[in-house]
Amino acid sequence: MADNKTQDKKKHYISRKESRQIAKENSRAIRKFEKQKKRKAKVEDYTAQMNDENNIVEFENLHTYFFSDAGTVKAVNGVTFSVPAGSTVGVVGESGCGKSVTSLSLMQLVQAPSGQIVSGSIRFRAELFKRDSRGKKIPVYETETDENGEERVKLNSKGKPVIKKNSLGGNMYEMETRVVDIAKMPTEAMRSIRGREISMIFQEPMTSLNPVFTIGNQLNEVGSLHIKGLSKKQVKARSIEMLKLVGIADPEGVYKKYPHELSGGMRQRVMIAIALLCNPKLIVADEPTTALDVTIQAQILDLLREIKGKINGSIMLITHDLGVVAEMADFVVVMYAGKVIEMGTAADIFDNPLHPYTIGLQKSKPTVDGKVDSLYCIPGFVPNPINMPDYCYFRDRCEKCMAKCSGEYPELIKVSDTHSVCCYLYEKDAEVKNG
Amino acid sequence: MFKYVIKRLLIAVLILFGISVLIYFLIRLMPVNYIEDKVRTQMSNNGGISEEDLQRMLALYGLDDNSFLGILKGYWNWFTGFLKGDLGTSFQYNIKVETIIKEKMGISFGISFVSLIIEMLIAIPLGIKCACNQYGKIDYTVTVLCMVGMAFPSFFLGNMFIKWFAVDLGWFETGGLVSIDLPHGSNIFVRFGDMAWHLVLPLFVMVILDIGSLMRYTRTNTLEVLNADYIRTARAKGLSEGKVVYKHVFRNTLIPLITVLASTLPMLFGGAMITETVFDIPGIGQTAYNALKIGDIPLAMGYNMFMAVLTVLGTLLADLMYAVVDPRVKLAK
Repeated sequence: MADNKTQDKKKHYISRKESRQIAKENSRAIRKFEKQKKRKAKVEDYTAQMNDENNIVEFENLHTYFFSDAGTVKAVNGVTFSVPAGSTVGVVGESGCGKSVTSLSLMQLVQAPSGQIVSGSIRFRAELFKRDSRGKKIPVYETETDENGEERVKLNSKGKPVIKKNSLGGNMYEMETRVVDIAKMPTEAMRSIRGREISMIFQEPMTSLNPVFTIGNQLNEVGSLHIKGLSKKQVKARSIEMLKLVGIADPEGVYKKYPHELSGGMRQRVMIAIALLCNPKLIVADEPTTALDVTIQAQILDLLREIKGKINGSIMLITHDLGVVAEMADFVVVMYAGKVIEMGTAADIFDNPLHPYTIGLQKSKPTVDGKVDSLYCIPGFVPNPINMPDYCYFRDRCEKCMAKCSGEYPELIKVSDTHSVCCYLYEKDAEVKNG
Repeated sequence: MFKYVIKRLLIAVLILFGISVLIYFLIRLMPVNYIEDKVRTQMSNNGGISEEDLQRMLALYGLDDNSFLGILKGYWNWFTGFLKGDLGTSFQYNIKVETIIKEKMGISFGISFVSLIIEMLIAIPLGIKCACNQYGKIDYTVTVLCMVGMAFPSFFLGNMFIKWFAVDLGWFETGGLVSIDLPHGSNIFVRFGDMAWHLVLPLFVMVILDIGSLMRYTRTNTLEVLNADYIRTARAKGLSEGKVVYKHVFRNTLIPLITVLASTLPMLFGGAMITETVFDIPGIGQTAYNALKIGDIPLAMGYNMFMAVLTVLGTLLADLMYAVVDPRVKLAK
């Protein structure tokens, strides 16, 4: 009994020596990663190659850790999946499985200094500004044909060359398409991607808008930051256009309001308007409907779907609501304890779930026709994120656990072209299929 | 808004009445009596004054009866005078209390105002800087230094400064406002320069003593705001760190800061009692300190009421400022 107690103590308490050791290692690790984020780097240093040209984002073996006082929390622990251009990818999992941290890693917004992208890569196909030797953007000038029929740069009344306008009405600069590795990018360079190429909608519309600035101020900020050469009036026009686009009935009025004067659904619409302002290629929606009631949820989802068609972009939808995923997503990624355990098309996951966890999730969902006394519940808990076991993280909760499950963590097994699962149960099937 | 202010002012009148009763009783209960002390000194010098004369003098000043009713009677006399706008005549200076306060307030206000400005200019940016580098080298260094500054008692730090910089090094004056050797009839710039020279040490002391709390307050509030969701949103927009901190964070940190600064109003006019005494600056703080020490009841009453009015106005100002800086706050009714 006494022995048991000491063992229990050992499990939950850390000695002062250990604590000091952890603090020392943490501060060393944090310093290293912070330095890396602050470094000056050439574009070539973080240029990468896509595995599949159809993808817009590829996560590969991403590890994002939190260096806490109790030890390292491996919030994202080797996540690999990709977002094909023009599609909606749903990332599902329970609270704390690392889905939000995955999306924040993509934006380099993991709560620093404790949270850091440790290894792996996030490849993103970005439209970057071409820079001249002095690091300045290269404008594209308007041209005209002179009386001799030769093309020349058009000059304005002051004799200065006129810069061409892009589709948003701002100055046009020479652009280049480049695949960048966001995990290796310095924060400075990342800033030109945030809000312009990838934008994010957060789960808490009630707290995600700054309470002391008007909606208009917060929208204009993005316009004047990313679309250069717009006059104040044009920026305002763009903001109001966006408010209209997200279905706000009185855009001029809302423009002048403060966040606290709007309802949750309205605020989420404003958040979406902010996200859409620069026509991003990828929208990361981190549980966009969690804090809203069901009718507003449906409206916001409709809006997202509608907008995706309009801007011709992709959506990475983070949610724990299987219903939302079923409705929205083309591809589904199921995460558990910081790892991807199953992924495939929405049809794969919903009609043919393979991983015992996914099956459990499906079973624990209420259905309209089925009548049950109580909903199914997966037994046990998610393992402690500090000192994860080296066997399958789901082993202790799994009903189909085998002897092999105590071995090392299973690899992701392809069961069909689109469907992969991380479980020893399907090792044989895969072998048969692959010959 | 107007209605709100009126309501607050009416409440303030009640509060001030309560305060005046409390202060008067406390001052009367102090074991010090100016008249008695003075007359007894004269008696010991054989000024031909008898015990009867003393009693007569005490009765004349209304200090003869220290029972509850006697104090109440004294309060009533003070209160009726106060209602007529008369704060009474100081025992020791024999001039009107209003005149003394008016005269001494200027220099105290000047010192406090300059020190507040310096404090703000140093403490607020420093607090923000510390919050942005939480648990970093800068944070620890500044925090420790600020704590050291806060921990010093003002009389100790003041006297140490006098010892080091005025006595040992001879850089500054030990106290007062005007040099003895200042030629008579010097022009205003010379006089002002001389005064400023005298005020360097007291200003230093005041800034060091108060900077810590303001810095810590800024740091805590900034940290709280830095972890807010809307700061993450601001970063997600692609704003630079400077813009995030000095626009989005700072505007939100400002809300609690403004209220703290507005409530320093009494301190601003009230003078720094101990620092002024240590450096022998003839400000209102030192005057009030002396009045309390020797039992100059009208002057002590006048000073304390002055502070009370300022405190009430300061809190009202803080509440009004809240509505100005925070759009969520509406002053209703």
